[in-house]
Amino acid sequence: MSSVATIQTARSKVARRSTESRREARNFWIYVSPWIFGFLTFVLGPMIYSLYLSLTDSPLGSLGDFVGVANYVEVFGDDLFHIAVRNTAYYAVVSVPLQLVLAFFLATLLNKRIPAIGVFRTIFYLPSVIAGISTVLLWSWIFNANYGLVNYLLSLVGIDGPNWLSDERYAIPAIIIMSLHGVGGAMLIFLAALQDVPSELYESAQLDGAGRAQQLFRITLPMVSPTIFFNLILGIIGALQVFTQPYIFGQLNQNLGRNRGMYVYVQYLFDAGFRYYRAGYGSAIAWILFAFTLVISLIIMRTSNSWVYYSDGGRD
Amino acid sequence: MGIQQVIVLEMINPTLQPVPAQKPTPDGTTASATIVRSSHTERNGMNKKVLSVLLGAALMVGATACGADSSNNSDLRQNENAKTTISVFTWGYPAEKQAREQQAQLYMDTHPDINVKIEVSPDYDRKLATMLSSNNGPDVFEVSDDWFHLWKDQLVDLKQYSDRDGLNLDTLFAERALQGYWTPEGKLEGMPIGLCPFVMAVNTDLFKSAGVEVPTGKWTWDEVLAAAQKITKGDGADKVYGMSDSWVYDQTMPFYFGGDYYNEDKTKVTINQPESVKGFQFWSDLMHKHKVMPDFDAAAGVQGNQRFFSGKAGMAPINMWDIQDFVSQIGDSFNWDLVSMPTEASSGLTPVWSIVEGYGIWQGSKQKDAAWDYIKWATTDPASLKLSSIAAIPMTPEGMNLVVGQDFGKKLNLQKFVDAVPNAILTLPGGAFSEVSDAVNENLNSIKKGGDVKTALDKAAADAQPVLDRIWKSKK
Repeated sequence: MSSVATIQTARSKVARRSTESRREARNFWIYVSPWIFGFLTFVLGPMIYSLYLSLTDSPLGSLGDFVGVANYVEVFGDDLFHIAVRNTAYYAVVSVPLQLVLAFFLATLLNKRIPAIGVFRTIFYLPSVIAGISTVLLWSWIFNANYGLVNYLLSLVGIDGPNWLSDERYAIPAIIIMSLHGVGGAMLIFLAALQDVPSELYESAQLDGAGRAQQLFRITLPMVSPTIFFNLILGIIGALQVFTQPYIFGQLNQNLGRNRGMYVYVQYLFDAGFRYYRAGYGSAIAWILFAFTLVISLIIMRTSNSWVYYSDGGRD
Repeated sequence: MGIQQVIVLEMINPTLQPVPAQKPTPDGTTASATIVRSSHTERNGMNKKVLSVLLGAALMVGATACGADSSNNSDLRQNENAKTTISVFTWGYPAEKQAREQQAQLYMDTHPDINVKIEVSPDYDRKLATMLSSNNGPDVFEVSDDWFHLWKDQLVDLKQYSDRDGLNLDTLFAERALQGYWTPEGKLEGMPIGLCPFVMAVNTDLFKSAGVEVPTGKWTWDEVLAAAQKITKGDGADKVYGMSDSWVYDQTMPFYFGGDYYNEDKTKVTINQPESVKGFQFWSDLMHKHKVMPDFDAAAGVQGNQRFFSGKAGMAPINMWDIQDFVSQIGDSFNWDLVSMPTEASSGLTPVWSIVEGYGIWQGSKQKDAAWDYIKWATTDPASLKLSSIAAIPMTPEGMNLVVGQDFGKKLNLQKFVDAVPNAILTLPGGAFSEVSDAVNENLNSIKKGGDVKTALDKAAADAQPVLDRIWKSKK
C-alpha cells in the first residue's frame, strides 16, 4: 500500500511540476508575445519584404518585376554611391574616435570629487538630450559664413573663415564638429564605468610607485575597455546612419539639387526611395548598408578578444 | 476608406485629422461614430477602462469592415442612413489650411449627407507616398501639375466624370489649368484649385533712395539690371544687393531666350542648347559681372527672402504662398509692393515660374462619386474659389479676379498675380522627374560659383540624359 502511495505521490509531484513548468512556459510566451509580435510585424516582416523589393524594379507604391541583382550592380556603378560612401566613411573614421576620446576625457574630469560636480555633469550631458532638428538649426547659425560664431572667433585671430556648410571641403568637418555636442551620452556611460573601477587598484599602484600615465594605461583603460568597446560599436553604427544634419542643412540651403560635399549614405538611400520613388533600388542601398554594418561589427567583435578586458574573465 | 476605418484611424490617432466642427447629428448616425465623437470631447475625463473597451469595440468594427465586402458595407451604410465620409489630403501653409477647412465646412453645410475630412501635412510628398504604397490612400489628394504623372496609376480618370456631368473643360478653365493634368494617353488626372505664379516684390524705399522709379507695367531685363545696379551698394556682409538670389531665376533662365530644359516630348535634355546658354549666361553675369545678385558664396547662410526682409535686397521673387510671411516679417520696417517679373526685350518673353495645384481622386477610393462631387464644387463654385484664392489664383474666368479682393493685412498690387497668368510656364518638373532635376540643378551650382556657363550646362545635360533615359525605360 505504502509503496503504491509513494509512487502515486511521486507521480503527482512530477505531474504538478510538469503542470507548473507548462504554466511557466505558457506565461513566458504570453509575456513575450507582444515583443515577438512586434518584432515579426514591424522588423522582420518589413526586412524580408525589403530584401525581396531590392530584387525588383518596384517604384514606390506598386510592385515591379523581378530583376535579380540588377539593382545591386547599378548601385556599385553609381557615382553618387561612391560619393556617399566616401563622405560617410570620412565622417565615421574621424568622428567616432574623436567622440570616444572626448567622451572619455570629459568623463575623467567629471569623475573628480569636487564641489557641485552634479551641476557640471548635468551641464555636459544636457546638449545630448536636445532633439536633433533644433540643434541642427542652431548649428547652422553657428556655422553661418557671414554671421556665425565660428567665423567670428576665427576673424578675431585674423582668419577669414570658410563657408562651412556650402563649401565641399568643409561640409563634412562641420558635421563632425557638430557631432561632438552629442558626446554626453557616451560620456555618461564612461563615467559609470570609471566609477566601477575599484579604488584599491589605484591605491596599491600608487604604493608601488606608478605614475598617472601608468595608472591610466595599466588600470583605467583596461578596466573600462568593455565600455570603450560598447561605445565604439554604437558610435560606428550611429555614424554610418548620419542623416539629420546633412538633410536639414540641405533644406536650409536654397541651392537646389544635391550638395555633393555633404552627400551621405542615408541621404542617398532617402533620395532613391522617397524623392526618386525607386523602392527597389532604395531597398538595395539599404541592404548594402546593413551588410556593411554587420561585417564591421563582426570584425570589431573578433578583435575585441585581444583588447577588451573582462575582470570576471569574460564569463557571464 | 470605409467609415469604420476612419473611425479606427481617429481612435488610434485623434490628432491625425482635425475633427470637423460639430454639426447637429442627423438621424441615424451610427452609434459607434457617435461614441467616437464623444471620445474626442471628453477624452481627458475618461478613464482607461472605458477607453480600452471603446478601442476594442472600434478594432472589432474595423476588423468586421475588413472582412465584409464593399457591397455589404454600402448596404449597411444605406440601411443606417449614415453619412458618407470623404477624406481630403492636401499640403498648405496655415492660411491655405484654413481655407481648405472652411471650404469643407461650406460644402458640408449644403450637403448634410457628406462629411469632408481635411488633412494637411507639412511632409506631404512622403506621407502621400506611404499612404498610397500601403493601399490606404485618401479619397481625394492634392496633385501638382509639375509632377509629370507621378501617381498616374493611382489616380482616377476625371474625364469620364466631367463628360458625364457635361462640363466643357475648354471654356471652364484657363488654358494652363489642365495642361499638366492630361496624360499622354488622354487621361485627366486633376481638377485645378488654382495657379501659383511668381511676381516680383520690390523694396520701394530702396528704389526711391536710389532714384529709380518703381515700374507700373512691363519692364525689361535691361531696366531691371539698371535699377539693380543703382540699388547695389556697400561691401561684405553689409552689402545691399539689387536683387536677392532665388531658385526662381535658376529655373526660368533658359526660357527668356526661347530655350527649355527638355525637348517637347521630354525625352532629350536641351539645357545646353544656345538659347538656354544665353539665358544662363545673363544670370551668371548678374552675379559675377554686374555683382547685383549674391553669388554662391555670398548667398550661403542667408536665404534670399531673409535678405529682402532685412532691407538688403531691392527685389525678390514672391509667390502667393509667401505673402503672409513677407507681410509679417517686414512689418513696418520699409515700404514694398508687387511688380511684374522681367521681360526679355529681344524675345518679348516673360516666363513666369508657376505650378497648378489641383485635386485628384484615388483609384482605390470607395466614394468616387462623392469625391468627384466635392472636387467639382471646390474647383468651380465661386464661394469655394473665394476661399482658395488666398493661396492660388482660381482658374475659372470669373474666379481669377477674386485674388485682388483678398486681404493680407497690407495693401498690395495683387493684380500683378492675375496679370502673370498668361505668362505662366511649367519649368523643370519634379515628381517623376525629380532625379533629372537634381542632376541638372547640382550643375547650376558651378555657375553660381563663377564657373563657365557652357561647360556647366554641357555637364548638366550629360549627367541628366542617362537618368531621363532610365526613367522613360522604366515607364515602358
